[in-house]
Amino acid sequence: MVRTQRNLFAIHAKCTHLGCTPNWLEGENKFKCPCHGSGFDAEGRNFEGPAPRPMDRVHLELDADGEVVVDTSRLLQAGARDSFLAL
Amino acid sequence: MEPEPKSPKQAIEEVKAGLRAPQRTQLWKSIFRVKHTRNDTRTRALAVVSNVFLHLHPGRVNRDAVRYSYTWGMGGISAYLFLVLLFTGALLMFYYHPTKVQAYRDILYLEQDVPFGRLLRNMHRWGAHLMVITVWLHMLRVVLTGAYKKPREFNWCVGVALLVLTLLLSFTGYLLPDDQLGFWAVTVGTNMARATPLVGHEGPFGPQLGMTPFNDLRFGLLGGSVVDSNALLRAYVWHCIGIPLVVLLLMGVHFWRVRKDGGISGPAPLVLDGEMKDEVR
Repeated sequence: MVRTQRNLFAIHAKCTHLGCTPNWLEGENKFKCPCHGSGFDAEGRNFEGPAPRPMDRVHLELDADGEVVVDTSRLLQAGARDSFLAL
Repeated sequence: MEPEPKSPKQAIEEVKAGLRAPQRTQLWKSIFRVKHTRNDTRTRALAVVSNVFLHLHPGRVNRDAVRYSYTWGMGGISAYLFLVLLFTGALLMFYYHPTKVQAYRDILYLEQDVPFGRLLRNMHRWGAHLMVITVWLHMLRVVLTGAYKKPREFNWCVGVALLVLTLLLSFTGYLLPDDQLGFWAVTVGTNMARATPLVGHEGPFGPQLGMTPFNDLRFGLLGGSVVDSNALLRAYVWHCIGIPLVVLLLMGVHFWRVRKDGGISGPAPLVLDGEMKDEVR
């Protein structure tokens, strides 16, 4: 889950190169894929290595009680509609 | 008419005669075919030529063509490594179950408890790594010495197929320990298959041909849409049965062609164009 000043969104931790799971490196403030070294920033944007696009996001919505519901079966490309909740 | 049944006495006499002169028995003659009674050049040559083990190499070879500094011995080493892998692999099959529950436990059992289990597993592992290296070096030597040229073009192609099969054996064996290394390697490898032209759902013309994650090449390789128990079982069957059978067949063709094309290495030192048969030229 990522909270920026304006948005809330959930990153699907799967490298967009060939599908390994990038690790969050606290000290370097980035996701690093162990397979071929793709790097993603704190918001999941690819900035190094072979990954062709930002990591996907999972669908978020607010239910009637105002709780965030995460649906991991619905993947969205970063920037798509419904890929984030506006705060 | 039925032949008279032998009396026990006759049968014993025959066995005794066979023990006195085993070369005269039908059993001996059926195996060796050639009489070794005379000690002349022709008989000795025949004894070699009619024996498969003595005759793996051609009847005559160029002395310069079999120098290790020229051949590097990599083809032979690859073949011997294959035999080592066949033997150690068969022994590993006694201890290994290709299921999600047991596969990794079997590896731990082999490493920690089975007598010589760690040695056995590592002979197979290092032999496999080595074979990939020696097959590549064999190919490099063949290129450097021009041994892929006439009349060996076909055998070069068989060799390329054997290289690909060696890599596939290496790849399928990678998943079998069911550890993190193998899991992610096969995740990566089969994710590449998504982009296969025509038969991959992310490849050129794949979607137009109706490919989805649930019917494309990757699905066929994994037996599903994720790397799981079906993928493990498929890797096991391909690794232990499917690919080795094809490799053995092609190795037979490869070695036979090596002999028929004039022995290992070449081409220039061994067969001059003028010595080639007309049909070959």
